Amino acid sequence: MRNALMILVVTLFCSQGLYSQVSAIRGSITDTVNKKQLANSSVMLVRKSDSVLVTYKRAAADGSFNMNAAPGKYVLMISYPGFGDYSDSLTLTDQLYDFGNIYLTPKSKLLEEIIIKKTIPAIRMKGDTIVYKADSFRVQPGATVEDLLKTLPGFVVDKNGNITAQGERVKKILVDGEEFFSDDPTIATKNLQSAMVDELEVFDKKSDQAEFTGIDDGQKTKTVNLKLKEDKKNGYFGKLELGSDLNNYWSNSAMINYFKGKKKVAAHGLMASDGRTGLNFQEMMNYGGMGGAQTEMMDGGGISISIETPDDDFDWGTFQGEGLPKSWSAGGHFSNKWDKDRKNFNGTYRFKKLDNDANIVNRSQYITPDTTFFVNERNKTYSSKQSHSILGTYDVKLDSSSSIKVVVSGLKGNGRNFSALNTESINPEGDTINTGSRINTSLSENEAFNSSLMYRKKFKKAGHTFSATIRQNYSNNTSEGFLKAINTFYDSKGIMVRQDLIDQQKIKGNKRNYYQGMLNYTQPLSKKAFLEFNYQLSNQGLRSLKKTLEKSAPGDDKYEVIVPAFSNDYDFNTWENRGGMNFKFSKMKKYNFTVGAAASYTSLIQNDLIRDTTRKYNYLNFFPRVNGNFTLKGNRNLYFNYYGRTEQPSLNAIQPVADNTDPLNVSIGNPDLNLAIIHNFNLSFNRYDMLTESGYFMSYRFNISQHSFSTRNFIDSLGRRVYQTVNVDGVFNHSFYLDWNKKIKGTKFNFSTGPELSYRQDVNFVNTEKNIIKNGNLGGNVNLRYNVEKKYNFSIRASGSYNFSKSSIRSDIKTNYWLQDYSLNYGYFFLKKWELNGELNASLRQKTPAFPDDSNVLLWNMWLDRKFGKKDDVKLRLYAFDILNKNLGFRRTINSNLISERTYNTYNRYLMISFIWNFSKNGKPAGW
Amino acid sequence: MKRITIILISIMCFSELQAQFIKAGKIEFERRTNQHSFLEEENMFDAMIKESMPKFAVTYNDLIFNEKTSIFKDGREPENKKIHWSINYITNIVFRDLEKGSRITQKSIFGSEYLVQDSLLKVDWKITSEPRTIAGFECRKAVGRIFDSVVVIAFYTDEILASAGPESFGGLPGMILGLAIPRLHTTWYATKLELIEAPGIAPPKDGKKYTGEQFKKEVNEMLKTNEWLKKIAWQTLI
Repeated sequence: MRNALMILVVTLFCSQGLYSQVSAIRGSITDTVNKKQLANSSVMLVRKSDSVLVTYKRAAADGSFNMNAAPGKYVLMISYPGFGDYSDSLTLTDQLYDFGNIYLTPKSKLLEEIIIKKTIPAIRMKGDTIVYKADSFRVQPGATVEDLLKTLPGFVVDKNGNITAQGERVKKILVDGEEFFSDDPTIATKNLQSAMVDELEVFDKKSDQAEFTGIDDGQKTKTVNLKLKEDKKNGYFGKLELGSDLNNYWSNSAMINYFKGKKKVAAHGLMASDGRTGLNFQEMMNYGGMGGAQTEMMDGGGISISIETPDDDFDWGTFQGEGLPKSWSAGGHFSNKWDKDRKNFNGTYRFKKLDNDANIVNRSQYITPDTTFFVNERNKTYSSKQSHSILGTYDVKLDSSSSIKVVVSGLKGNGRNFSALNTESINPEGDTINTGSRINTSLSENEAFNSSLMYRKKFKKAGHTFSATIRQNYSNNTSEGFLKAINTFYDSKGIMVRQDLIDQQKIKGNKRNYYQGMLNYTQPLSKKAFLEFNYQLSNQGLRSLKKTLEKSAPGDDKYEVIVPAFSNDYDFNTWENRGGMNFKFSKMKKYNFTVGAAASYTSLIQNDLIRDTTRKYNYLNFFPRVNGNFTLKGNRNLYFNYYGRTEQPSLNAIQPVADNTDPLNVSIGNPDLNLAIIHNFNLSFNRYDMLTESGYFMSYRFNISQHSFSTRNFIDSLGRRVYQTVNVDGVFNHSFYLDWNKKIKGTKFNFSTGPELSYRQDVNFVNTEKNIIKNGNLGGNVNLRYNVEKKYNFSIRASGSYNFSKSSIRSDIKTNYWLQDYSLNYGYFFLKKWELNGELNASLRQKTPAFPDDSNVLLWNMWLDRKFGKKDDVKLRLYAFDILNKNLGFRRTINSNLISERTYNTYNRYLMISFIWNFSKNGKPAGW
Repeated sequence: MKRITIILISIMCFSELQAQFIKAGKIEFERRTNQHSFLEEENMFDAMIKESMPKFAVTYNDLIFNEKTSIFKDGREPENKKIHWSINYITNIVFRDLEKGSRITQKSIFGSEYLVQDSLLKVDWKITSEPRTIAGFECRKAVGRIFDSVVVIAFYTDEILASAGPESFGGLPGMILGLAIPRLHTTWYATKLELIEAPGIAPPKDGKKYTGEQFKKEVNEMLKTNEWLKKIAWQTLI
């Protein structure tokens, strides 16, 4: 103890640069009443100028103490449990300062004195504070805290904003007990709205000191604490963006989020023809009420996000399809919390409209045991769809342990579709074996209504919970349209053998009613082990109507004759009972392990209302699972899982609804289908170090299935494909991924690399022959990043893969090719207000014998920003898309005995100029 | 709690004559952090997370001490495990040797372990006279400052001879039983004290080795490139 103190003292001296001048203090402490020596008394030497503790000692067994300190003015404080404090000021020179005997008095003897003092401590128990209630003093609307202070009795504010309270200069302003911006009190008082303040507390430090110890340290720090009203955080933020290439493309949007306490009102409007279709995820967070997503914090701090929307095309704000879309979208959001946050309401409305023009060219190669032929398609489509949707959630916390949540959503929409398709099949000799052209038009309407009610209860014991949910879904989709087609078939000599003409009206309807009840119960077995039970009962009623009508004579106007082969009316009714149990074993930050299983019994009734037949199917499905996560020494994480499931065949596979929309592809049913059994294994291992910004991530996946669903294809001499679902064995898939990343020490470079390997085997039947398809992929990537914040950054990525594919029925045909992707991103900040960014992407695809055309894509975009305004909140942007005019909509698929390449129209070179304004008051949008 | 009562009674009995000083034992601290303060109200994503996360994250630490050494480490598992990652994944095991004036901290930051060898944390304490009773002990308030600007409020008792406290805080004539750091929206309060005759206290051993200075430099370097970490920067340094 003594040594430690010596070190401390010496350290203090070092810091002051005073090696030589050390003064000693000495004394002995005694109880005034019992005259006993008070061992272990705390003896503190406090600097007089700022009352900082310089050194301390505990008195020895005989009550004596010795301490050393640099010369200066001090206060010596002595305390002992149950005794009144002793304090005395002293000035240390380089001489020994001997206090001699110091007497402490038991508090019991100080009783009288204490009682007198207690009248004052009664105030001090509330922190020795004068409290002003802000609302009691009238100020003009929009007044600052400074204006408020001017009205308070005892406060004076001079023209420089300096505040005096009870005759003393206020040196510190706290906001909710915390320092606001800095120690300069005027920053807080000039910037905060008076209306936001609930209470003002004034502390006086001097009286605080003097009260207990009698030390006048000469410091008079008047402190004001502003306690803010909880519900007075008002403000808004938003953005306005206007952009155009002054020709074909435009991209305009406006968004605002206004908040007043816990109330939030947000609205947005957007119209764009550059591929933007709505709010992206970040905009959803700020203006879109999360678009129906639910976030939940899990044990240990993880966050899960689940998305449930009535909208079928939640596309994260960017068009994912083929073609050049134009889109309009608008929405409003309101949310509020009240009753001490126990009640929470969220409501969202959205309108979306999307028009799309697409031109698609598709070239396919079919491989059959004895021949190979090509199918070329040209498709021109136009579609327009729009929808209105609402979503509302209401959350009530009944008490601290139980809550109810109601979610209601609805959608109403309609659409128009037009498609004109030309197709031809060519045999290896180059002869056309069939041609077809068809026009499809349709008008559709759709509506949906969903609701759910969830009750949750947490019992006293941690992990002991119960929840019950009921859910209802309703949807009704109808469409009316026409199919006109001509299909012509030729023999090997090029002579027409057959021509089919179709001119039909199609009326379709699909109505679905779904009800579900769900119970979930978790029971802790110990602090680490839990049992989880769940049970679910559901019923689905589905009415599927399809009416095909023909003209009674080719010249007629009306379609009046029903075509029975392509008309049907089914009623499906499905009951499902599902129960499961999981055993969980976990220790936070060390491991968690789950083993469990579920089983479900499904009974399905199919009623053919036209032919008046009924079919019943019953299935028993199993879902075993094992997963575990272990944190090993050195921040290494090991994760594994196994999920097994059985899958029942779809009704369409057993008993397909006859359809002649595509007469070249016809499906037939298979009533003998069995359940498929699917096993998924996953193993991953990773490590990451925050400080050195380096680590690795490794993952291996293996899927294998028994009696999995595949197809049997019959391709006839006319090139028509008839297919049927069958069970096959021998389907599996391996994949391995490794990413190793490292920050290069002493630089701002981050480097990462790793291989990506996969191998899969598929099985199908072509005509009567079993076909085993092997697909392999050997790839890897290298990345380099360099970043100096607000100055410049760049990143380079190069990746490549070698793909090979082989089918057993035609081992003579090998499809092997290289894919290479390169990307370069860069940003440069200059002249304070300017910023230049660019991205260059190159996709190089090796030509194959089947596809000898050049299909490389080279896309280079650049944008230049100039910021304006004090806060840089206005931006002018010049955006150059596809500078080289080399962009291409392209997709290549290699799938069993079918290889296809698809090209479609997409955006090419344009130059857009945009005005972007980010505005805010008192708030800022969240951004990651 | 019973133990405290016994200690209290014994202190009461002796108080007239001679106080009973505690030389060794184990203190449980309850750490409370306002984890809603990490989130913004006007942001719909954060507002939604607030709904599913209790306002205060409550975790436990144990401080085992004798007159010369002490070790501060994770205590029992929290009851409610919905704890913000910055609290859950930045923790310290602090070993102090008062005789040598040294401190060895095993810092766990997102699962990585660092072993930092340093001197005792220097805090300029201002002693006040404000009393408060914590876990049955009469405490005195001291206000300190770390890293020039972060205010720390401590309540310490001189009835415990060891100079220690939660995390790396100490340097007062006694044990800190209550600590508040407003900047971090966090408090630590002792909930119980067990008397242990000769507790086993050994310094932590795991992790990549750093000196205090080196570690501070690394953290500062990391903050330069990771803007979002600034919110939790102090957490890594206390």
